[in-house]
Amino acid sequence: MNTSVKVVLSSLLSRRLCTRPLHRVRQIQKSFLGTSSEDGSDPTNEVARPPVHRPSFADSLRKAREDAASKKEHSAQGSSSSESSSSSDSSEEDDSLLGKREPADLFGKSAKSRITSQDMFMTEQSDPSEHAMDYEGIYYIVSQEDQTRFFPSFIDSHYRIQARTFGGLYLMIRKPALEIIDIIKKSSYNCPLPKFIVYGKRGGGKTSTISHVMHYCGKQNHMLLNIPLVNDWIRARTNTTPSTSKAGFTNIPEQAQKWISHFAALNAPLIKDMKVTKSIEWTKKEVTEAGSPLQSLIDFGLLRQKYADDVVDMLLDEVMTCATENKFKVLLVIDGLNGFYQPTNMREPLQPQRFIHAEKLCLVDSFKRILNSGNKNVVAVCTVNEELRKLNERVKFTPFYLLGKEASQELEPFVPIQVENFSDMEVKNCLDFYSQRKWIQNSAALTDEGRKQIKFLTSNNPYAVWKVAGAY
Amino acid sequence: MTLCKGKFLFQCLVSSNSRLSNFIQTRSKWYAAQYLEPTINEKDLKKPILPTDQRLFRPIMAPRTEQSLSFTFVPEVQKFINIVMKKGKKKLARESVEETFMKVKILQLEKYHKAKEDERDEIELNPINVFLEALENCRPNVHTTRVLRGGVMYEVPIACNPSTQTAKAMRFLVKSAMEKERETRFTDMLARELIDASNNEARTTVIHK
Repeated sequence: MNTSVKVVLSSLLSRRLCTRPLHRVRQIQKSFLGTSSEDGSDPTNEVARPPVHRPSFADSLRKAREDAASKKEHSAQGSSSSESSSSSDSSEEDDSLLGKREPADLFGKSAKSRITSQDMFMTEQSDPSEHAMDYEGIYYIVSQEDQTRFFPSFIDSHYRIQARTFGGLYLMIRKPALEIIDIIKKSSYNCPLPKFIVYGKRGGGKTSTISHVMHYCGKQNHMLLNIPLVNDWIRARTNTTPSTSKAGFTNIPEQAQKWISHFAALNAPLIKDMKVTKSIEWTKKEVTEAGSPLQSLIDFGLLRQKYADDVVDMLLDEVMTCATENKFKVLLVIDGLNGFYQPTNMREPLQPQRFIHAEKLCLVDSFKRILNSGNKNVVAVCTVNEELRKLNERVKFTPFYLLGKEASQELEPFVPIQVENFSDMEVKNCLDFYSQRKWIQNSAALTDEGRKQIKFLTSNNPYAVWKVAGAY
Repeated sequence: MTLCKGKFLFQCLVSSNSRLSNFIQTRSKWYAAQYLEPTINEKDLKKPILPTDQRLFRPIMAPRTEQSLSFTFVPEVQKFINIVMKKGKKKLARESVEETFMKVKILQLEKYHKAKEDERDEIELNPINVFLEALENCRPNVHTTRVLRGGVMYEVPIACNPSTQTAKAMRFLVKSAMEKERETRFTDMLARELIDASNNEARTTVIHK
């Protein structure tokens, strides 16, 4: 007989032996009678551990400042207890944390002033320029006017669904977005501004930080150049044509038209005053002359699909010339920057066995020119996405890995900013918010044990929390 | 998977060896009939055990991987996932069922925000309650079996067991959601079907009652 057959027979025999009643009776008595009264605790209690908190450089700086401030006060009062902010999963810590932060008062606002509504997890302060560090981990609503102006077709389809279910666009105020806004406020626009590259795990809240920054800059009358998804330019099957103006480059006219309409919807009040500086002959009959309003160029791009890519190039040039003349400031928002430095899914028109590299697309080339120009009055806030890569190439989520060596050298100097998963306080606020908006229906999920289970299932990942809370 | 492999090996062994042909497996379960099912409910576990309780004298099955003490465990839903499943792809089936529940909730919440304040209490927002109501409404009272009389097959209606009732109702729901165009998603269709069936409006309830 084979060894495998022996193994099967032996396992059968052992199962047979296990069915003896006397053998089982002792075990059952031990497991049921002995232990049932003593510990009725969950197995999940032991497994669910608080997540490891990795302090960033800015975080450690702030901690040191807070420590110094608290030490001064303690020495004045004569009390001995000194504690910095710690993270542990207790439900009553919210009040104590507020109390600790109040004496520090680093950012000009006391902690109590932030809560204007009855709920602890919401503010009625919908203007993002007034959000200080005290507002961290709280939701705010984007007002209906701003929603139609700055998010006409939302950044992501996920946010469109959220706005339908919650009856309005709600965003959580989080640390990375506040850091970016803080740096933008303090820096002077006369020198070349830093590029921010936001990175993190999937579903960690990269797009929400971007949209928060976009809302802030839109309120300050910035020109917004937004690419909602680079994935559309690279992965989607669109028509490709060889470009006429640049040799060796290819056009994707459908996507270019889409971008022009998006650009026109975002910056409608700023476009009114602008005028074209150069005159260009598209054909013998169709000419855009210098001094005509910019709206005519946009209409031409939407009308003639053939020249849409060149129109985008021209529009960006006009925006940059206005920016150098200090007419307005420009914010460049790209979701998925690493898509610019990798081959696409589209084949070359003349050599169908080859794939086009994204560097050889006209649109990508014109946007790269702004990124690497080092112009004044321009801020760039970009994300780096894992999802644009193939499944077997997603080892890390760091920008240096995803962009590659050459691209990261080309983009330097930039400021990498990590978006981490929720902290314990943020999860608590998030679940409270979901229960108030009726997203969580199961009452067992809102008990302490249910909350622990959600934390264990999701490891505090925001998108996973949304999913688990929604499914049950 | 381990159980499946064991069963497969066992069948190979029986077919090759004629001496062991007495042990042909008749049940789909591995466990013998004397085994008891495990108690999953937390309240039942905390109760004191009487000396006449059968759990003291009979062997008990090991709990399956999907059975747990968490709030996500609902036995009807787990059964439904198994019926949606094709070719043993359980992860895909579980995710698609969870997605349908999410879509049910989104559709109901949209209705909730649009409705006036008087009518809001009538809308059921919990997707699991919607699913259970849909199951109740789809349950058939009668099903047919084949009977051979005088060399001719007749289809004779007989009364349903409660267990076959639930299984048939689940299959009706999945079957009606599968009849769709190619572009629409299965989860979208199933979500709409569940909501309609809970209000006694869907095709499944009309036909099978």
